[in-house]
Amino acid sequence: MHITKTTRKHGKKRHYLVIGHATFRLNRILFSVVMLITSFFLLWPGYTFFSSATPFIAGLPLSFAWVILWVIIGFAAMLALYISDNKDSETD
Amino acid sequence: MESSTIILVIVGLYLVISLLTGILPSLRISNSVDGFVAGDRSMNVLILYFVLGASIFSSFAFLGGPGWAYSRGMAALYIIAYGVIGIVPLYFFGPRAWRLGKRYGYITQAELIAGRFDSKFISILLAVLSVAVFIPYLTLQMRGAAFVLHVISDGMIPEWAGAAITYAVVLVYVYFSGVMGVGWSNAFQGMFMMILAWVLGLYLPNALYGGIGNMFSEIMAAGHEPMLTAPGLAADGSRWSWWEYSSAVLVSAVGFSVWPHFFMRSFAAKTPRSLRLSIVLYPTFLLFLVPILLIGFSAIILFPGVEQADSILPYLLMQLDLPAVVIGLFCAGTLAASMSSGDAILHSAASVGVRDGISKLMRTPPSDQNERLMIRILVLFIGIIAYYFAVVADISIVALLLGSYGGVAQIFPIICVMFYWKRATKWGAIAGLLGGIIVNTIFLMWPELKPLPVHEGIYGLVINILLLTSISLLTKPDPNECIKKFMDSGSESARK
Repeated sequence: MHITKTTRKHGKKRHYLVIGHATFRLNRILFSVVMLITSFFLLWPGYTFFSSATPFIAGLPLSFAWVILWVIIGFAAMLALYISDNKDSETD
Repeated sequence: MESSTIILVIVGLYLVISLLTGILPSLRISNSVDGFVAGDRSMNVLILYFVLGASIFSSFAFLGGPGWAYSRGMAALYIIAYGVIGIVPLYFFGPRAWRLGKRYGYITQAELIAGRFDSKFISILLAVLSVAVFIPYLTLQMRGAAFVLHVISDGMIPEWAGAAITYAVVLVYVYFSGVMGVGWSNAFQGMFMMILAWVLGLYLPNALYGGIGNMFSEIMAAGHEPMLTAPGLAADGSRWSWWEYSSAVLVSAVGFSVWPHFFMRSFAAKTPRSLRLSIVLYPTFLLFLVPILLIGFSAIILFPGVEQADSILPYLLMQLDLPAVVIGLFCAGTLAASMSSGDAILHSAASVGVRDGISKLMRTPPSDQNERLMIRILVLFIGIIAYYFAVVADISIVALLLGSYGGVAQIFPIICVMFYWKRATKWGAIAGLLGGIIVNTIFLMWPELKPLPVHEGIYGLVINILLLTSISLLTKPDPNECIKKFMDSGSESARK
């Protein structure tokens, strides 16, 4: 069963995903999903669909631009995780 | 002024600034092991950012990166691909390690692991593994620096002198300032090489081909499409298989966050938050490999058939008749890449060697002052050994280094279970680590035994995880207090 609940701890909001008896912080789940997708598209088999030299994107071969795109997505995901971690945790 | 003089003046200036930025922090840190190894846990985001970035971007990035792009095309992208995946675990491990370090005084990775599994043996095993991996790594950095100075100076600076001058500077600031010397000099060196890489990487394709797009079109037109199609070419010029590419990325990504000199910087952070922010910003450093690779691509058409691919960058610069200032800056940039990794490795090898190896073997533990002195002596000693291998001994160490990636990756499962699996035991950890390293080494030495053409580190990891879980479940659980402090390290309240 998937339920999202919000609790208040030290006056800050936290979102959780509850599956059976296990509870996970929602931002961590979303981040893990994005990183799994990133790994899928940077390795076999995800990368094979975007491995050709053409078309060129901003002057770079598709295979090259593809990797840069995922570095940027990975960076954005980490930044989002960092911001949400700071918002909802005590002090860390 | 003659061009060789200009080059030497720039390199000299660079070395003086490195020395100064490296020595000055010694005035601020305490005279303790904690100050020398973990900088009194006072590193801010800026310094940590450059330490994490520059420790990894070694002379391999400056020489090997363009060399790969030049000879193997898109295969070089694997360096970028593993970085973005590999940094992620440190975001979760780092703050936990920091809190435990703050509370229990840990300053090295092996100490942390030995703290969880209550085992002197693991500590010594990791110390031996670290030093065994670090010496060839340091040797390569020295050779890189010596090689570039030798080529660019047109043979004026012999290799023995190049390595001696640059690493004398490193030895001095590591000896006096410890990790803070590494930190401040890396901030300077990191900024310097980043700027240089972008300027040169954008300038060369424009100057030579009239733009990056044109450059790649010409490479295509010359029949090099297989090079531009991922995952590029293998070392022998045939197509690199997806198996090999994916497993190389995977093993490097797994090992990345647990490299001892990288991981132990977690202890030096001021707060878990500053540590996290510098980890989050890491991919911006990674992108600096893009212009570096472009430099390698720019040589494919103009200078085909250069045998030693790793020398393509200095070769290119010598052929192009560039102003002496540019060559001098480039030369200093390569030294920065070499030194910013070399200093971190030298510092960590000595710290780990004493703290987790020699001290553990002594009947009575040394005093803080003596331990600090021992680390400093080992800094000098390891520096001299690496210099011997770099300049005097004529052996190939590249293979040794490549093999070490698979070996270091074997630390990852143990770090994972240390924080997240209560049932992991000391014997499980020892069996996993030893089994993983042995299997990795066997397939490294006899690659023909591999059932599938994947990186030997993968086989090591499979055996490692199997042994770690099965032996852990078969043996008695570890003492509860050890487990509890590690399991609870995820939140701030654990500090109370």
